[in-house]
Amino acid sequence: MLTKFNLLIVFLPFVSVFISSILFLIFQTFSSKNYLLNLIISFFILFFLILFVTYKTSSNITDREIFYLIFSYVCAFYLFMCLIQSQISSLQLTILRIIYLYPGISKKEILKKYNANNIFEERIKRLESGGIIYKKKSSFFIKNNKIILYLNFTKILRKIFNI
Amino acid sequence: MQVILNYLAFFLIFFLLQIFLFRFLRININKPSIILLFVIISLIVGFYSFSIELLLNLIIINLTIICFYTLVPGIINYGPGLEIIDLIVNKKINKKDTLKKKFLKGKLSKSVEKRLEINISSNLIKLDKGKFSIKRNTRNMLIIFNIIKKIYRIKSDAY
Repeated sequence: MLTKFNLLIVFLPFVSVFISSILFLIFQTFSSKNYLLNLIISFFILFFLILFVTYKTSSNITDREIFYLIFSYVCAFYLFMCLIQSQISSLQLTILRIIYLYPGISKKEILKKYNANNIFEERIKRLESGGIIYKKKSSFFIKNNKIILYLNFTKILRKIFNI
Repeated sequence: MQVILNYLAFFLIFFLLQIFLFRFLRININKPSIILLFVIISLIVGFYSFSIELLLNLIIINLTIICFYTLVPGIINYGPGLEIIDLIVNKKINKKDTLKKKFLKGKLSKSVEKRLEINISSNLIKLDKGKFSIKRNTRNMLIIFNIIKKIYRIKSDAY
């Protein structure tokens, strides 16, 4: 039989993600320019809170429960992050929005409204405003080297999957 | 430590299964129907087991499967942002004009067409006599997404 404490453990990561989503909302109301930073801050605030709760109650909870609390929070927040990120940059969603706004639109008309040219300009703008690249005399350079790690990670996975 | 090792074993088996199926048979198991099946089985098992340990394991397994579902499409369909970074980092192209030229000549120049095909094959839109329209479920999904976008004050790249 599940006790109240067990139920608390089960739901704590999801409640934490809900609270961090509210924190993200508060940060967004103050400054919506750098959404990624807002997401990261809201993630870490609750992450450290979970670590603190785990430390304080470590005598009452098992290793499995500690692992569950941390892992589930990270996974659930990753899913929330994907939900937010898809609103911003998902090509598939943008195309769906175009068709939703202009029902009965043809492929030619879609390509007139949204094409590789637009995508390039948008991405450059977002990469620049997100502090990932910077412009110097009409040339672009990498500002945040962490993105290279992500790029290599994706490339390795693409090689493994033979894409 | 044992808990982490157990999870790592599951993760490795699941990851290797994904690689094997995709690399050799071109089968992508990250589909909503498969996830739903896992969730239903887990709910039944979790409901009748009355074991907290099993319940926690089932939640972890399901979360891993759902995370893979969101991660794999991003790997299969290489994003334009990463393509630009790849051109800057690995091809050492820095000038905006050259960067744009290379980008427009590359695979991603057809990304809109590719996403249209994905949307059709995923049953999100329908094509009738060269005209696109969205399906009822997609419309509901877009309404929810628009609400999320408004609540969180998210500015999308386009539309």
